[in-house]
Amino acid sequence: MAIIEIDHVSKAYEVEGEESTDALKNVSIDIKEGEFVCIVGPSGCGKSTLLEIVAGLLNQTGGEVRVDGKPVKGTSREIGVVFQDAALYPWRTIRRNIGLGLELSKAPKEKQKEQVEKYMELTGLSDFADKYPSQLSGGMKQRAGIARALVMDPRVILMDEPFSALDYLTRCKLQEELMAIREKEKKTILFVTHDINEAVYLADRVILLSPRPSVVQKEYVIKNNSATRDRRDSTLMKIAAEISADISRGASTDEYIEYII
Amino acid sequence: MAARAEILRTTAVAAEEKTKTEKKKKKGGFTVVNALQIATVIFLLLYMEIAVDTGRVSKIFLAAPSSIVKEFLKIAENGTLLPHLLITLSEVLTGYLIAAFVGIIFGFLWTLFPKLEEYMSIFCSAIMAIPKVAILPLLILWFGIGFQSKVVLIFLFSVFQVLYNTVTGAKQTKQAYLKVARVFEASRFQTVIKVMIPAALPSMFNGLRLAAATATTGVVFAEMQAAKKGLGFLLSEAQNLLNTPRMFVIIILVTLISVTFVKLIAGIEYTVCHRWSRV
Ligand SMILES: Nc1ncnc2c1ncn2[C@@H]1O[C@H](COP(=O)(O)OP(=O)(O)O)[C@@H](O)[C@H]1O
Ligand SMILES: [Mg+2]
Repeated sequence: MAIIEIDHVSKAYEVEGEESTDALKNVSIDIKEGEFVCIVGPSGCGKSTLLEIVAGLLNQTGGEVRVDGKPVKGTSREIGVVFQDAALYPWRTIRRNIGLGLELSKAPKEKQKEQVEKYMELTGLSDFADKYPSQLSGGMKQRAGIARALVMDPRVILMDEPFSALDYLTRCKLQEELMAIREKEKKTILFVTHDINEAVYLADRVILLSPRPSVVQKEYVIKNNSATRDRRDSTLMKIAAEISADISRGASTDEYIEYII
Repeated sequence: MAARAEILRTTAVAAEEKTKTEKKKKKGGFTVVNALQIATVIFLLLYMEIAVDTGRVSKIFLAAPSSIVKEFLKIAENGTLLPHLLITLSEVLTGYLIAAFVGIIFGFLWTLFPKLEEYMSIFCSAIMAIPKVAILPLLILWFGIGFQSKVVLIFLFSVFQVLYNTVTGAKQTKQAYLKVARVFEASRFQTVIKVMIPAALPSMFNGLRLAAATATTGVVFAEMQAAKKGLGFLLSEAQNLLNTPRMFVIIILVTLISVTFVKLIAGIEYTVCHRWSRV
């Protein structure tokens, strides 16, 4: 069964004194437990909007999102979010940023400490525990952003262009670390990016959204194990080239393609 | 490949060089401009001294630097200065501290209960619109010419700067920070305490610094209008006695108090925020 069902979701933004903008139109995506799905699409097509609707941060104007069969109403413990630029609180140390969720949910102090230590270790941040975000590189900050989401042990993690502000080498490093974390923690991940190479390297399935009002333009299933993938694999390159061609070709709805490497 | 590594290395070295020279520039030491500035000050002081000494400018209009120093030593030693100085300081501090406390508390309450802001802000705007100088006669009527009327005036001078800066800072909390709090299902109270107030700190300190700058001015002004004690009283008395050196002494003192006060608040801000805000 799908853990996330995005069922004919539409979103129109009402701006006072202007015509409303249709950001999303009848978007339907099912995501299976443990799956890694990347959403790509031209900028401004509604990727962040879709992610925020799934997170319960934004209300859709049509359709429904279900997690485990239950409609999403507001944010929940089941869903963690990793933001672009990490959105760490600058006045908290890394340790206290990572512990934020547990602190807010008033978890027992012992458990807070234990979980925070565990995920600082996992993301390689133990040496930076008492530093402030402004003292860290972009890559380190985003590791902390990931750890902050993982600490709550959510079943689903939503990531909105988490690596887009990083330089190429750091981005590659964090992609690899994310794959390792995914192997270990068995999370379902919905990942938004505009970097097609990133999408084909990470995902089990890539979903291409059309320009506004967005519909699902095309789906690409990548069947080999993502943990053993090679970034320079010629088939991955070919898929990336095809996605890029499809983006410039524009909308032609609901095609479905499987790739077996 | 090797060529590329070479390019990378040279750019890295160039970048390092650049930061080095920048550091050098910052430390800078003594420049020609500094020298000219000091020369100008010395020239002006000398001119004052000579102009008054030779009688080119009347003693009533200008005081020779040496007579200012002499006057300062005189009133410091014979005990004229200290009581007035202490009165002014205690008026400034009392009024300012009450204003800071009330401003911060209400800043917090307004952020927590927007309805309270909606209710109160019209009254605050009305009080703020009255020129403080114009309200002074009324304050003197209500609170007398002593300590109380000065404290109330400083309170009115300072409280809104602290209040509005705190509230505005809280409202400008980054959307992303608020989304993080919502993802973790923070309550309204938690969001205010753990996100909006910390995010408002730099703006709150900005208000506290502005208030510190106006507080001293306000007190001295009020003491000049109606008082039996304080530096402002001493200043208007010196004016009536045509004691120009004493006027200079008090003006310099008031300036120093004001500057020190602002520096003190900036110092507190630095200890609270410097580790994370990279000022
Ligand atoms: N709060 C808002 N009010 C009005 N329009 C918005 C708002 N947020 C986003 N939009 C519009 O909706 C569209 C999709 O935005 P977004 O989801 O941020 O796109 P993406 O993340 O794919 O770049 C854009 O055209 C944007 O202008
Ligand atoms: Mg976006």
